[in-house]
Amino acid sequence: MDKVILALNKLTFNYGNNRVLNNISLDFEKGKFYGVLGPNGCGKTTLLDIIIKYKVPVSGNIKIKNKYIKEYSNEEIAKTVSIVPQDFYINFPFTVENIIWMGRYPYIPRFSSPGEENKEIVDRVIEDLELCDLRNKLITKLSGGEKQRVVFARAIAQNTPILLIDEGTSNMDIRHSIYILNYVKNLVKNYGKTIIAVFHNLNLASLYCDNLVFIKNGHIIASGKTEKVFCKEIIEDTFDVKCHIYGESSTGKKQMIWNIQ
Amino acid sequence: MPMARKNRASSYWGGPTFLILFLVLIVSLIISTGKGYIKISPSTVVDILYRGIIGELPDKGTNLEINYYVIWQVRLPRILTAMVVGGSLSMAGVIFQAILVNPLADPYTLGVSAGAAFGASIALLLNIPFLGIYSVSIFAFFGALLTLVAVIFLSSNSGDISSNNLILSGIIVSAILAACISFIKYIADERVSVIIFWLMGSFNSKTWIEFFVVSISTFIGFLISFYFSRDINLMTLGDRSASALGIRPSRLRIILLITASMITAVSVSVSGIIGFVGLVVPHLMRFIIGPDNRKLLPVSTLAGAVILLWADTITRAFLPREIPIGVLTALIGGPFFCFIFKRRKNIGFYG
Repeated sequence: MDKVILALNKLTFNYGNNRVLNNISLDFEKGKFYGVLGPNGCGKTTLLDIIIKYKVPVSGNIKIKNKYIKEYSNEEIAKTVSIVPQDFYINFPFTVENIIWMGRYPYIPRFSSPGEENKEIVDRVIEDLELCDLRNKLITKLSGGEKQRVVFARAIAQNTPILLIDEGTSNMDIRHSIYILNYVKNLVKNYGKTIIAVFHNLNLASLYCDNLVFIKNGHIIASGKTEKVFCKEIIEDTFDVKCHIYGESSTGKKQMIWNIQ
Repeated sequence: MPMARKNRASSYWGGPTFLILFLVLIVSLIISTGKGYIKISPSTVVDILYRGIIGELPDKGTNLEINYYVIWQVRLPRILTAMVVGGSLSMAGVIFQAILVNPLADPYTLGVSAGAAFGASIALLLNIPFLGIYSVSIFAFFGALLTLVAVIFLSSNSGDISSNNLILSGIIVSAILAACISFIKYIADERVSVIIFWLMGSFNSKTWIEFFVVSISTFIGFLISFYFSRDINLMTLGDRSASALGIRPSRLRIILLITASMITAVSVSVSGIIGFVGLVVPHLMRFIIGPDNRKLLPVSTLAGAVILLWADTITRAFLPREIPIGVLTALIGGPFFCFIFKRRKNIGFYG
């Protein structure tokens, strides 16, 4: 019955005197793909930081599966939420496989051997995300897009009900972006995962997301089903740039172009 | 590539590399103990070590008795102290590099050494007598401790401690302390040579007490950091990903920062400032067994022990005149570091 997996209630967050999130309330349902859109510095990343318990809001609360996030132990959080962060710079020469294994750490007690089950998951993720060729390469030697694919795979290996993606395909070429977004979309459809993804590419957001949330200056401008809120007024209001919307006939998804004058 | 497929988690402590280094350390210890003004053959060394351990004193008036005292009262405390200091500096180097997520960090990046040097300089300048022969070490230790407190205070920002803030604070505090030390040297007149000599580091006339103090701090430090060794791997992914993997980055950073600084402070208090071991050894070991801190930590500790043991043996027994060990490690370690750095960079080992 209860479809809400993640509930944000009146979240407020400040950086010093600077209010980044202002009284944000949002419900996220299980098995849906959410897109979060907004200009730079609008509070998107901070919102994700609060969900992974990396930052603590000034006021308001968060429930995951009807339990306050405060009551989650670090280990429980690690088994519930994973994140593909915006920055994917890794300073030490771990192999690609090493990095993906890190996604399994929360499931393996300290100082014990990982076991067949974890090994299978790692192998499957490497195969699914087409990383076999890179498997034994050093992460420090890869290109930006390749690094990002590895960091993405690491988060998928964590295999959590909620996956947060912060601009997770920004450095990938279009084929890899689409491949990886199709892959996670499939996780949503077939495995009931919930994805909350920050996008800068509005057209990709429209193609993949069930619901969209528009944020500006720490406020929610609009939130709802993609076909409803992906419209000229809301986008122009959020980004302060004129745009055109056109329907794409084959998929029925709307797309947009910026109108620069 | 050197590290292909070795990470199947079969050996968390470094496996064969660890065992080889352990053997090298034991052999080095025996060889080094025999070297010096009085030459003692390795078999005699082993015999004397064995007698000492089971508590059987050699007959009075024999050559063996002289060798026994040379080994147990002069050489061993010094050699073992050098070993443990080498191990602790390398271990601290691994920890600092991991928590600051910066392969160029070393145990002295945050100004611990500058703080210790400042404390020691004051003790040497004022010639403080009331703590006996340990007053310099005690002043050095508290100098390091106060510096650490200052650096943490400077870099903390509403409970969060970022690695960049720490590094910057360390640089600022070190610079101020360096100026203070220069000033002390300036007003120290003829005592300046004592200060300079202390700052360059030495294991000359170390006793069992110093060995036990460093050993205890190193042992405790090792237990703490080895316990967190898997967590510090996750720091590489950045604080956000680490958080989502169940780590509290700021808290972990503080715990390990204090641990690593304490072992560095104790080492520096005992031996003066010995550079490059804490920077070069972790790099070298990372090249051999990879960056997984579960292996890197124990293996680097052993390797640091071997390297400083030999550095001290060279200056003690092989050179015509003893030169400060801090100078020796920098003279050997510096060019060596340039070499591996250049080579690694060419094949993309570091960014």
